[in-house]
Amino acid sequence: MTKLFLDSTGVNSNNIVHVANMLENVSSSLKVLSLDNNSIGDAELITLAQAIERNEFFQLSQFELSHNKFSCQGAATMISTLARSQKRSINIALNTNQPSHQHLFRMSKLSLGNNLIRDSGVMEICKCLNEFNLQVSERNGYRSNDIVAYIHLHLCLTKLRTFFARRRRRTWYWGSIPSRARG
Amino acid sequence: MPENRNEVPPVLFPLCVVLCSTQTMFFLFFYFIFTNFQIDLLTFFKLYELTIPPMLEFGADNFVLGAAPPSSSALFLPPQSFPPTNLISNKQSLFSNSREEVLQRLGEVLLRKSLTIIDLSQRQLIAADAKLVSMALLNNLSLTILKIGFNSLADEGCQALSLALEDHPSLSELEIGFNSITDVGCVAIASAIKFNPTLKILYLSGNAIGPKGATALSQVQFLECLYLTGNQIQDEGIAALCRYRQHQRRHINTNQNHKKHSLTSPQPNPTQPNPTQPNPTHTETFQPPQ
Repeated sequence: MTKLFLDSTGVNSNNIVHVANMLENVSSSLKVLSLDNNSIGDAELITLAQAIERNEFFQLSQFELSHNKFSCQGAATMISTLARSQKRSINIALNTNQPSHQHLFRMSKLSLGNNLIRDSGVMEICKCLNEFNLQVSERNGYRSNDIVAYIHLHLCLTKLRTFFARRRRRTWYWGSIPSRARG
Repeated sequence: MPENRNEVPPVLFPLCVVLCSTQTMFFLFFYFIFTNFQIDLLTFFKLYELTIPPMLEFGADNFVLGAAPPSSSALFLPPQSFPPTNLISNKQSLFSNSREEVLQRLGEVLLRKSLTIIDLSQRQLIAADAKLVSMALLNNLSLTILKIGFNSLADEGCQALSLALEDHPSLSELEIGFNSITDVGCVAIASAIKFNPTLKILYLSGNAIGPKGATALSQVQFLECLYLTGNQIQDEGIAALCRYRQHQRRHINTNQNHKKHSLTSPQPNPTQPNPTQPNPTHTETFQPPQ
């Protein structure tokens, strides 16, 4: 099976162990796992992340986790776990002299929207991604390679978007200096 | 204000000239296309990538009621519940959406043996109609996609379908979501497709499948995509599906384990099986070591 859709099936703290066991032992054939609209909190997401870390063959390309109940803590743990998985795959690729970027683990979509991630969580995720890119480019000589091609963070960016909008407006009126700035 | 009221104000004069010229250009453009190229409206829409209703994508042979030639390879009936746009409404009169006409059309399908796609989603089909669908399946051995979602087939319909699904040589995608199917229907379908190597995609979203159905689905061997969104498969069902995935991994990587560990490396711990939940098909593989 390459795609398994378990949206709205009642995945919660009681049965997350089964999903974690699956992620720990699953082969690289599974490409899409959807766990949208369940009751996955921070503790459950950390359990999943630990299971992913223990799996050498983890090659999921699409991981859907939207409409759950986890916050920035769980999301950041998941991102850093994925980063470590990719780093491991980079090391394997370097040690075995495999062609670059051919066998690397790179998730195409990670859906984290409609959770309890707030602005601080988004900033933390961005920080994780940035740190990982720096580490990879410094140590291994690889050019910056994103862990996830597309992170879906719907309804997490409300305040940030307002902030950027304000900045843009300020730039637009740059020519006219406000009276407060004039002193 | 101009002195003569019939006269166009000089301010608006350039605007009038532009409007007139634009209209003339449009007229000339359409006139040129419809006269010189002799194309109809549908081809025009396709040429210029305008909003084409999705039913038109299937070609004219496939949606005219009662006049489909045997050469066409798809049966497509437009959904009833979605309000058609202005463009569709002209074509909509060709098929009145009554259930009797759908069944009549389905009866015509039975006479043809070269269909590849049947889409009967949202056609208010009931359990008794599933017999016709299963006959269509049996008669069309080249069928690859069968969509009968958003109907009311229920468990009886699934049981009727399962007879045709068992040995179908080419069906690769089956969509029976939102059909009020419970464990009984799911078990019937799962047992029918258990050893079917061609069926790869199974949509079962929006039904009332419980843990027994999920357990039965976990034993299907050749399935690649399984959609179980919105079912109440509970802890037992989730455990069964996840256990199935683990078993697959063990089955796949059995011959690679010796490559990962050298003689100098410490021996890996043997995997301890759960004695209460042995694998149903290969129980001997998961017995604890003596």
